[in-house]
Amino acid sequence: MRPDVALEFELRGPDYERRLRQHRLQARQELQDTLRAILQTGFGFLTWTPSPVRDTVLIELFQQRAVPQHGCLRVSLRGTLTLPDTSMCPVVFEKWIEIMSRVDSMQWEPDTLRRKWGGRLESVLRTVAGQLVEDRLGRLPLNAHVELTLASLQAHLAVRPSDINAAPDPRGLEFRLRVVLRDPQPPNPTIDRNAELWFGRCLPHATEDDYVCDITVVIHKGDTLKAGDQAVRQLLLRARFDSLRLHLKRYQPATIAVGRGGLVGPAGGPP
Amino acid sequence: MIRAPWGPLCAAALALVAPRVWGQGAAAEAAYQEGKQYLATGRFSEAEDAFSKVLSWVAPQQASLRAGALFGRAIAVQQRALSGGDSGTAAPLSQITADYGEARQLDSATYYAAASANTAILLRRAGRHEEALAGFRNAAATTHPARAYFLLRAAQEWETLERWDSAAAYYERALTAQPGYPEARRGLLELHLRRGDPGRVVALAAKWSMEPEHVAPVSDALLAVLARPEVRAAVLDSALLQLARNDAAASLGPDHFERARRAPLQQVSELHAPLRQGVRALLDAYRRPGPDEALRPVAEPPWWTTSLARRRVWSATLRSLGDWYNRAGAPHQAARFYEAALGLPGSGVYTDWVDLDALTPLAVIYAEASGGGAEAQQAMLDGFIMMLFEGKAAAYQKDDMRRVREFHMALGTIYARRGQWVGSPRGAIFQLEHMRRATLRLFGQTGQRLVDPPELLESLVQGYLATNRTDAARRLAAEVAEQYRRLGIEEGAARMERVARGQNGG
Repeated sequence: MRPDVALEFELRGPDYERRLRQHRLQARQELQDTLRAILQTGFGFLTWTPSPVRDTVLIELFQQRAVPQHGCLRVSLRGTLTLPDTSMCPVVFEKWIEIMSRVDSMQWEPDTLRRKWGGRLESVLRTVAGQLVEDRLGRLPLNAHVELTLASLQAHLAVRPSDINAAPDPRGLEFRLRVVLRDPQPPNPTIDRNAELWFGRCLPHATEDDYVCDITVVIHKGDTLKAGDQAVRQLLLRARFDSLRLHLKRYQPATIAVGRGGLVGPAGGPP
Repeated sequence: MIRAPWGPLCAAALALVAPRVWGQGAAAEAAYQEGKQYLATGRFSEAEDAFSKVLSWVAPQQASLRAGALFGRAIAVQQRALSGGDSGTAAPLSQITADYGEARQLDSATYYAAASANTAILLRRAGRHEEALAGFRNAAATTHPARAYFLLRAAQEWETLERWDSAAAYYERALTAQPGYPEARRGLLELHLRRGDPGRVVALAAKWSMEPEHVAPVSDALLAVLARPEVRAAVLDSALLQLARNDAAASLGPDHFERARRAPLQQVSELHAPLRQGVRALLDAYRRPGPDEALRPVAEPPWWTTSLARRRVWSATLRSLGDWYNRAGAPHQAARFYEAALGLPGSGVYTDWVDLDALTPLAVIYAEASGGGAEAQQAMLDGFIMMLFEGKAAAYQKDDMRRVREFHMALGTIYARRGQWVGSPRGAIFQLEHMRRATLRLFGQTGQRLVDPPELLESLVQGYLATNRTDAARRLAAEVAEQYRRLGIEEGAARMERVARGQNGG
């Protein structure tokens, strides 16, 4: 169900390099491990593997070229899907003055940095989580069956909260189904290879504990359409859908880990 | 202890608590371990069989093992039911409740909370909400690590039973058990929306917006308040201000704004005439210019200038957009937003509402501007000098020594890179000496001993050498050498020691 991704972390910048010196590789490795644990918990709809797989999430911590040379964070994706981030400094991770004010070598020990930056990385990633899911990490498809009931504008997703480590309350979730939409309407049948159906207002299914969601929006020929509009409903009813790929659009991770259906074990966590 | 939000997932949590085994229990123990293995791998029917064997072999007085097997069997059957079943025999669901009940009695210290909560989940699915509530409350009365989760589930049951005050109280209790628990925050906000208390939503939003990493559910709730036609004007006003403030604090960029905000805010604009001007100004500010579009002037919309609170939020929004364009490598567009954030041209940075975080990046953009001919460069330089005076004055006026220091630090670096040592204030020596003074004053104010970066102090040494202040250079170089040594930068220490000994032009 969850796509596998590898993580690569890069650390560069004149002040980082000058201060870390021979510790740079070790710091990079330790931070990569810390980041993987953070991502596993905060973006648990992906399986973050330590070994190389087809898709890799690259997280770069680098200094801006111009003064003040803030430490910036960039997240990009490469593999089956390549989504680079070309911004010069997508997110400020720490101000230059903070970098320059750590003037004791103890503060640049890999273990000290891992503790200090671990918390900061967690906080920064959580702040931009919505954008990351929508623009980057949610672009990797979930391997899950989707059953559309177009007459009632509903979708039954074979995804349980525990499958994607989502919060038990589904109100923070939205999905996106990328499809090839074939509209047979004469006289000009059309094929839209980049159509999307968005699913929101999800609820747990009455018996199977997976999600039943409303189809809220249709992206067709580049237009964003309300699924409830009469013309859109008619389009959905006559169209054929192929190559269904389910993605997360909005995500809320479970804060307290529980098992399938919300079950808990005697020592906490999933049973 | 409850796991901290986003903390590492504890793999060990998969294990059932190992009970003590007595007498003939070797076979029972083996079957118990087998059951756990089956459970962990999702083979629920095999797990059920294994735990049933334990129960047929174990003596009644072996309470601990018996409780473990009962709990294991119940959870195996419950999970099988939740996953739509698997191969093998299926026990009736009523057995689950009985097994949990007995496990809870036999070893309450271990199983009471989890068995109560898991039974409550079963009851909830059967629509027996009063009983489910009791189960979650029982579970929450323990010190189980998932206590906050049980309180959250109890709150949801209260909500289903339309006992709003109790639901709110339980969401609050969940937040006390685990401060910042996002699911409880979201639940409480949704509850107040359901109850038709948007004022309370906005009050909570203001309280919780201090933590940018938790603002997503808050912003959702604020948008929901703004989408309601019946909400009072003052509440709507506060909701819009808080939403804009949160978006600025979270550095929301135009692209994300387009996807997450534009459509709902357009609806808000249509729904609430008093907010229309303010919303439209936001929509316009966040609109990303096309590739061939000329640089956009940033207007001062009247709606955002009618109160100090609005002005502050508007300034923060423009500063945040300036940051975004600056980070995106569009400094000229960034400068427009920074200037507008600072009220330039016009009231200037002395006013109470400007976001002074716009100062340093704007000064740097001015200082590093190139191209556009001598006249344009001179205009930029004039602007830069004006920034310097106004920014410094504003920060000194507010006795904001942290900002004063940061400001001198950035400017000192720029001048040092240009080799522009002399000049007051347009010189590296002036700026770096004032950085040192600000550091001392900051220490006097806060007791926090800050150390100036040795690289910048080395620039000051170079400045002294370049202006023939050899004694000052040698004194400072000895100090800087020591700092480099503390950082482990030996080549820097050696360089400064040579200066201190007078071997480098001294």
